[in-house]
Amino acid sequence: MNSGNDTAMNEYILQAQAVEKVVALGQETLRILEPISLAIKAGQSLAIVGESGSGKSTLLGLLAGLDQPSSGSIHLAGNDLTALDEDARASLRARYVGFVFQSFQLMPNLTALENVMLPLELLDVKAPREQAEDILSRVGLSHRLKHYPKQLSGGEQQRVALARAFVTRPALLFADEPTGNLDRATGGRIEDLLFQLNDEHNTTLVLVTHDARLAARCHAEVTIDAGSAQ
Amino acid sequence: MSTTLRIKLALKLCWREWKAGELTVLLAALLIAISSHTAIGFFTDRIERAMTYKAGDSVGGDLVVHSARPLTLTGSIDWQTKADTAALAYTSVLLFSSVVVHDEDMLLVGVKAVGDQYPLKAPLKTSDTAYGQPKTTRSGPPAGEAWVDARVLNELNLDIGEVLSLGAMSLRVSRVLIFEPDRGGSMYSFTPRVMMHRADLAQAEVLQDGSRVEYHTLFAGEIEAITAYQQWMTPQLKPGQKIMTPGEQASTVGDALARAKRFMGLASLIAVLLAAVAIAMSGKHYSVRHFDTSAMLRCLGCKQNDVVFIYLFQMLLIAVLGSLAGVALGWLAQFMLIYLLKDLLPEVVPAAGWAAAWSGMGLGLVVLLGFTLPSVLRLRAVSPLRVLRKDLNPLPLSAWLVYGSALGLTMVLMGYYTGSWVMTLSVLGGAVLVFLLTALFIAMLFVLLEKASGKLSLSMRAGLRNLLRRKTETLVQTLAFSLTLMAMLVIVFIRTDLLNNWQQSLPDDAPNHFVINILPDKVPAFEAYLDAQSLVRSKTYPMSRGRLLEINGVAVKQAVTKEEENNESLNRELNLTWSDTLQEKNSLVAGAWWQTGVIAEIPEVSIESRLAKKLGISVNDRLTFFTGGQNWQAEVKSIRDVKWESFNPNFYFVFNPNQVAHLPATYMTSFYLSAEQKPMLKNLVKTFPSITVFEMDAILSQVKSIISQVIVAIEYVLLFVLAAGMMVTLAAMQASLDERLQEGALMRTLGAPRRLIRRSQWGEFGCMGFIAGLVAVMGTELVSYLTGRFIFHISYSPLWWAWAIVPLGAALLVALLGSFSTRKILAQSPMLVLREG
Repeated sequence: MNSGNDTAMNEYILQAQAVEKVVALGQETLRILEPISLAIKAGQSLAIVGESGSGKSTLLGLLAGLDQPSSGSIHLAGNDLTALDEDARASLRARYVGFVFQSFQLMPNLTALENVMLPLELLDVKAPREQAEDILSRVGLSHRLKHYPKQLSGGEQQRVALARAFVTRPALLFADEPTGNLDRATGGRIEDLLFQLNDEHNTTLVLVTHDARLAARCHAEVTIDAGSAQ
Repeated sequence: MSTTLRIKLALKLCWREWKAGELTVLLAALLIAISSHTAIGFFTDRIERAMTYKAGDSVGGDLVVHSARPLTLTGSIDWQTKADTAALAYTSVLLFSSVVVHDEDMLLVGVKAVGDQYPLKAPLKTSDTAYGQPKTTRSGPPAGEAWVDARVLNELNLDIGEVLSLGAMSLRVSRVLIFEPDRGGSMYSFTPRVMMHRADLAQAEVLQDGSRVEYHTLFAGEIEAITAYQQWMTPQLKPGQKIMTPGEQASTVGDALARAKRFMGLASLIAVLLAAVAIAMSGKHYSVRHFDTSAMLRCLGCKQNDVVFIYLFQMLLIAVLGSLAGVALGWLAQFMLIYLLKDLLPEVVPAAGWAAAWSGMGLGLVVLLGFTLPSVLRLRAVSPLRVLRKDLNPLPLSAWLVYGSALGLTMVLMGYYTGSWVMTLSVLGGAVLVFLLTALFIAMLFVLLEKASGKLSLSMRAGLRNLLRRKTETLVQTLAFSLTLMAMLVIVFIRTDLLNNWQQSLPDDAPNHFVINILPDKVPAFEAYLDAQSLVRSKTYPMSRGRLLEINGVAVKQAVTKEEENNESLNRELNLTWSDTLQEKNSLVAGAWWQTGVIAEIPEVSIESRLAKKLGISVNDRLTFFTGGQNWQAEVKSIRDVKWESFNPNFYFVFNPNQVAHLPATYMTSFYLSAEQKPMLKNLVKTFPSITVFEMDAILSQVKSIISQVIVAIEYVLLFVLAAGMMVTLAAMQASLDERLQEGALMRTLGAPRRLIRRSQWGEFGCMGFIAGLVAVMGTELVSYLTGRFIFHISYSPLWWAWAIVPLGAALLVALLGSFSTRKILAQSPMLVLREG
């Protein structure tokens, strides 16, 4: 990982250039993210570290194309996200990106299996069930396929979320405090699983966390404090 | 994403949501609404058909053709063959005037010659003595015999068993006619009836070429067969042949039917309104619950249009399936209803048509899509960033857009289903008023309650705070309760008004006997006689016969429209009367009543409003009358509404007595006679030999029986609306259940005892119910006033008692329903709730 822009673009799967986020708050404007530049090579992992409210989730949202920066540019797999509209960004997400969230974000009305099948179905992949079952058994949930999220423990829910994130073999995985809602022991197991899957699938990982120990497991780390990169 | 993939996904997601119970509330709301709407539709359709069918009794058949010659059609197939094929029963009767003779006495009578099939529908009532006990008779007189009105016996000094002569034939009088179902609506058919067998006509030789005869061909059969037959026959009728339908004949029955139809129209309109409220609420709830899902879908790469397509397709699917199921359920429900009512309904209840099924399907589609569209479209605007920040709700759509489109759609639906813009606008006006008043009241109550809450107990305070905190939700829910309550109240009160008006127009002691031909010098003695018997009687009116010749100097036939040329009132002598005062149950709609004692230059007349409209007569018009060999003019001073169904003496033309009292006249009155008092008629007729008595009691009881059936139908339709209302209220409670579960769990986690939570729920729901009840009464008052005045034409009186009872009752009801539907809050583990949240 390098921060800066002196490396050839094609080596980087994700590159942010002077990305800034300003929001209007009544008459005033609030700068929630100072201009920041970073880049990450394919297959590497980057931790975005910071205290609560530091702006790290805002950065993650921008890097994943869930939101648009006020200025600056972001390139994801060679595509300039800032030049794309929301639908085009959605297409990119479908092709390249997976997500894992602190609050799991499983669809409450779908079973574990259906939750994992969904991204495959969105891509119109043939035989989504087999692939989903495979990866769910890979995360140790083959006996919980028909359970709804509310019938699963927190750790199990996050494992479903991991399975859902990896099932489409995304080039890039964004994880927002993936262990933040879990106890230490369960969190540790999820971490292991995350890095294990990451290695197996050779996925590029962008991880937001306030946990220094977790950040240390990544190839690189960028710390955000009050909206600025340190 | 390709359309096929979108549909595949929508179907999969829909199926998964259904499995997970996510669609239950929406589907249940739709199902309840559509099934109640369709059940009412099917049921009223069947009842209406049955009542129309039953009303056929009053014209003697389900289809009656009047003609001046024996019925023949222009087509090649003769009508008998066609009727046989359609399995219709039929018979012809001949009506003509003739003179009957007994000893020295002669009398002009209306002869009715009937065949073996007569009567086709409702039976005759006859007796073996004059004014005797009626006996149901299912055939006409046999050949050689005559059945006659009691008047014939009186006026010819004839006894049962004696003979009278008709033309060249003698007929033995064997029974007294009391009631002919098809005698016709006019109670002033002056000539008394002699009924004979058609086979005797040839021998009597009374009918020659050119004799004035009216042929009535009566048909009876299955309603579908009758309808098809009528459609086949109508284009083949020759000039002068006319189809008479039940509605055209029996005005009292027709009036009751028309009012019942309007009421049922209102009931189904209310069902539509309830459906709209329930579906809009469930749709919103559905949309809010899918914010997270659609953010996640966007995260996973769905485009905005993909999301909208998926949800719209789901809505369409729910609409189609829910409506189909609703229609099926409505169909079953009406069977049950008909089964439960089988003893009260006519023997034959014809099958319902498909109209209710189509309207149910259409309603389901339009209402579900129409009322959920704004909510579903909102899902399009959910930001994918919501996966990171839960607080990112999509911007609410413009309130004007949401409520404006809902209101517009409701109006179109209501207009379509009721076919009456006055009804639509008045109900909608009431609804809008309720909305505004609710908003106003809540705003005011917020201020008051906030001030007062400090003095309340903890549980009440918690309940009130819940109300105050969720201002928008409270407003929406209170609005839903108000609308539901108002709908129910409007139905209850209009029903009560309708029944009261019917009962008032036909009280138990409504006049059931009419007397005409009271000689002027006998009037005081006659009145004294009736009073001595303590009989309830109407005023005695003079009656003179005359014809209307010209309107403003133009001969009436030229002055009126083509359709009115054959109006009965232009072709026969009319009964003219005069009076100082306006008759009971008449009301002026134009002009002014004359002042007593003021003598005008030209005779003054007041005319009945329906006739005035038909003939295009207005106040100050000059009318030329012909009486006693003279033409004379009168000026129209006023136009009156007459309640014909009141069975009081009523007249088309009433004159100012000052100018016309010199006209030759006899007098008439009406009075009530119970079955036990019936024998006194003989004495009355003996004491005043000139008079002619018309017995209307049999007709009156026929009318009353039809009305009581209508009332039964209305009460059951009402029950249905009430049930639908309750279900909608429950559905509204469900909408806020998630949030309440969360709060309840939090409160319990913080150590609040269940009792406190239960009490605070009672406080919150009770308060909401009270406000809803209060504004519902206000809205009901307005709607009752408007519909009563403009649609049912019944008088309005404020519902003072409702102001006290309804808000308290609503508070109790909503508190009960609210506690029932939120019982999960107390039952579910707080841990589980908080983890899910």
